[in-house]
Amino acid sequence: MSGMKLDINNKIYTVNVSPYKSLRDVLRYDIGLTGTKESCDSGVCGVCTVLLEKGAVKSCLIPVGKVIGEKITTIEGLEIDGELSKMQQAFIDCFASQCGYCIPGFIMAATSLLEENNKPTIQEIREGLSGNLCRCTGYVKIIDAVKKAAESEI
Amino acid sequence: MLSIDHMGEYHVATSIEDALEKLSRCENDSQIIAGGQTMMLLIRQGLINPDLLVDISKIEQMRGVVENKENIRIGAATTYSELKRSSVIEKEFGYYKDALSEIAGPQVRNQGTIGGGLVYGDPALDTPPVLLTLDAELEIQSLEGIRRVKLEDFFVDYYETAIKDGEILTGIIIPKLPKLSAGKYRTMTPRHGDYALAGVCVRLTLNENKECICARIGLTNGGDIPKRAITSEKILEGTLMHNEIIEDSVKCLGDVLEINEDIQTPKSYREKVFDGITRQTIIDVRSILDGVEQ
Repeated sequence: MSGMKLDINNKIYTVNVSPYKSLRDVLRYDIGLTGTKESCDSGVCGVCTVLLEKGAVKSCLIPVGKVIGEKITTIEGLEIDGELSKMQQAFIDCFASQCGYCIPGFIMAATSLLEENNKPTIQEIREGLSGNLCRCTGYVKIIDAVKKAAESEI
Repeated sequence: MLSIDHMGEYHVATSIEDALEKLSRCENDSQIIAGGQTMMLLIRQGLINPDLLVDISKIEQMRGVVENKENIRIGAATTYSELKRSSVIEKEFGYYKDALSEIAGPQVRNQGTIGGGLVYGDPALDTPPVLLTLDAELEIQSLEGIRRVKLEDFFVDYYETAIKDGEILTGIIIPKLPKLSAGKYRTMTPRHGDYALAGVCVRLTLNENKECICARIGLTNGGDIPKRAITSEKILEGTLMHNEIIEDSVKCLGDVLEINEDIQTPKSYREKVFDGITRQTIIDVRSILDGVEQ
C-alpha cells in the first residue's frame, strides 16, 4: 500500500510497504527506529513491545495497516528534550540490565503498566511484566526498577 | 517470509455492514482480522496469504459489554483487557476473570479479542470452556441477517467452527446467572502464559435446600474442541454433591475426553490431571457456595 502515514513518537512518517508487514519490521527496517528489538517472532518474548493508544502491544503481532492514524510510541519516544523518562532512569539507577537486549521491551511494558496503575504491588508488577522474558537478570532488579519508578511518580 | 511482502489490501471497516459488503465484493481470498494476535502468526508462517484483510476491531457496534435485565452482551471485538476491567463481568460472573488472567500476557490481551479466540476454534484456549459453563449464545451476522448459535453447537471439529464464509461473529450473549451460583476456572499449565495441558471450568447453581439444580463443566484441551462434560454434570444435578457423588461425576470424564498422546505428556497422565483438577474445582465451587448467605 503506498503512502501509509504513521504517527510515531509525535512525528509523521510515510512508508510504502505491504499493510501486512509487522509494525516491528516497519519500525526497524523501513524507518530505522531500531530501539524496538526483534527476537522470538511469535509474540512470546516481548522485546518488540511498543505503546499504542490502548496500551502496550507486541509489535511483531501488529500488521502495520492496523495502526494508520494511531499514536505509536517506541522506546525512542520516551525521552523528552534529552531527558530520560522516570522509567528509563529507574532502570539505570537500579542496574536493571545485563546484556540489555530485552530492556526496551520491559521499559515499554512497565511504562504501560504505570499508566494504568500508578501504585502497583509487587505482584501486580510481576503480572504486568509477564509478557516479557529476560534471560540474564532473574527479574529481581527489573522489578526493583519499576517499583522505584512508581514511587517517584507519586 | 515472502508472504509478508504481499501487497494485499487492508480495509478498516467502519460498520458491520461495511465489513460484510467489502467481504462479499472480494473475489479472491479474504480474511477477517480483529486483534490479529493469531492472524499475524498465520500470515508470517505462510499458512494463509489473503488478498484482502478486513479489520473489524474498530467497529463500535462490536465493542464493549452491555447489561440488560436478562443478559449481558459482549461485542465480539472487545479485547481481553477490556473484559478484565469490566465491572459488569466482575459483578455477574467474576470467575471468568480467572481465565482471562491465564491468556498469554498483558500485551496480547490488549489486542486479542473474545470473538477472535472463539472463531479460531482452538481447543486449548482458556475462555471457551468458561463461556460454555455460562450457556453463552453467539450472534452471527451476514448480508442475509442475524442468526443465533449456542456456543456448544459452534465448535465443529479441530479448528473448525459453525461460522461460514460471508459471516461475522458480532456478539456473545450470556444469560445472567441465577442466585446461588458460583464458578471457578483452573488449569495445569507448565509455564505461566503458555497453553494449558488441561483446564476445567465448573459452574454450579443451588436451590435453597443446597441441592445442585444446574451443573456445568467445560474442558480446555480435552479433545479436538472445547467441550462440556455432560454426563459428569448430570450426576451432580439433583444431589447435595457429597464427596461420593463428586467421585462418580469425575469418573465419567472419560466419556468425553479424547486426548491424543504427545511426546511430552502421555495420555494417561493428562487424564489423571483432568480427574484431579475437576475433582478439586467442583469441591472448591461447592465450598464457595457453602459460604454464600441464602
